[in-house]
Amino acid sequence: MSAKKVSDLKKLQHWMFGYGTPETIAIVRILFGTLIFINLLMLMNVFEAFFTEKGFVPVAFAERWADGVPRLTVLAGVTDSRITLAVFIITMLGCVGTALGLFTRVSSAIMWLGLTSIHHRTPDLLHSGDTLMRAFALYIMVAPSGAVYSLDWLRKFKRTGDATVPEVSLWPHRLMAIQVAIVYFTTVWHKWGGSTWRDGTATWYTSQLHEFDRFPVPAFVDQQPFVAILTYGTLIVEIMLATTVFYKPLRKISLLLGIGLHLGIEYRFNIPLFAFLMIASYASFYEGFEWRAWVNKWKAKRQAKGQGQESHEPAIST
Amino acid sequence: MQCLVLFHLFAIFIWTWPQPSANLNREPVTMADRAQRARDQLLAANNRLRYESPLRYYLQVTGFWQYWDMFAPNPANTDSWLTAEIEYADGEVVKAEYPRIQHMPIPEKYVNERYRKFTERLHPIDQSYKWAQFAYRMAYLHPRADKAVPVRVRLYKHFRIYAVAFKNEPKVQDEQFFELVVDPNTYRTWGSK
Repeated sequence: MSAKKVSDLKKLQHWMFGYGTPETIAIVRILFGTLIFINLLMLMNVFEAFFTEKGFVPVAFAERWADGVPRLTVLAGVTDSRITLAVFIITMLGCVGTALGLFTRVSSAIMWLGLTSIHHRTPDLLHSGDTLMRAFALYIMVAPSGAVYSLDWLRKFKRTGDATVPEVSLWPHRLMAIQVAIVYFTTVWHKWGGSTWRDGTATWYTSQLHEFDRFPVPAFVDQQPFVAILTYGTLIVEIMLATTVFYKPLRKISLLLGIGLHLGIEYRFNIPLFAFLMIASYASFYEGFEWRAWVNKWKAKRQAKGQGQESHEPAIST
Repeated sequence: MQCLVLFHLFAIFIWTWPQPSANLNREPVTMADRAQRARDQLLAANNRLRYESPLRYYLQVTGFWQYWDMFAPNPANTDSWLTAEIEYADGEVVKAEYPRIQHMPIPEKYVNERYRKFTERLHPIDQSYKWAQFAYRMAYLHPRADKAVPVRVRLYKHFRIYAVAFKNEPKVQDEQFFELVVDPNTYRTWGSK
């Protein structure tokens, strides 16, 4: 193997398993803790319909769906809806703890286990946003996600006066970014096997499904050539979010196009939280030191505005 | 740790691959056919790896399983909703609509979307084991004032199929897909479950 290839492999290994600042992981923790909480709050609205024995989905259906493979769930065989409700509430508390960074490791473990249990209890309700939540809940749990921007971090500062943020292993951060890239890469691969994505008419079909309707759009959006532009544009943006997003000069444009795509879907179609979850996951494409620079810049601006006011927040240093 | 992380990435990646096309064993004629066949053979090999090896347990037991086939390979071309007819011994038939997103104001749409999602996983024939439960629940949600026990519940799917792009809105089709003969004891105790 040539020296250049060895050097490239080492760079890749350093990128994947090296050390760095934990801000990205903390921001993902805050965003996903909050969104998973909101998602569970929305599920509470259909609790009786889908999580009780008198609803549409008794627990026996989950066992049938499992197809003989044991599933990680604390709700296996639970027919008492009070226990199921308790699991919902404990999981939501785990989400609050995760978002705030309070007892972060325990809170995030509760969030992950509770969410996985709820998903395995009623898999018939799941959409891609749920799958992303479950994947990110795992990564947040295994990451040092409470190392900064958390109550744990503030408690440590108050106790010791030490505002140092340790460098952490970055592999959970990289797992998050690669996970998002896998989402987009495989969705394009799946779509490329479909005739309507190839002939440029796919978005017309989605626009006809009135059960998905949210806000109206002008008629030209559902006519050619706009339908073809949207269809091929979707594929291009999604493939960019799997590839060029890792190339710094094209990262910003890739993410902006992704945000545009998802906000468009959010406006038009009733797919709750999906856009916000995908956009939140984009935080993982930025390095911790970039987030830190933005936060410091924002703090400096705020301090300049409120001159004379004493700050009680710890200044971050490594 | 590095090996575990790389294994996890490998596992979730191969779990997300598409399925091979249905005509896997067709004899290739053109170059495109040959390319398609090679792709299908690769995907079939991947199916054996993910479904027949212990890898399946790593992903399915833990909840690490994932699919990313949103609007793929083609977006759905059928708009559908469900209703039930609840028949009583005196001949009265009460019509009941399963929550329909299109008829809701926007805030309600947002928090009730799971009802629509469930219809996707209810109607296919291999999901028929869910239909009796569905029928009892529909009857339970729409009781008659005199608390009479229904004798039958019929489930209907209503749908529009958009077969060809840019054509006018197709007619609604109706299909009865299940009839439940109500067991009075099951019905009476439904609310205490």
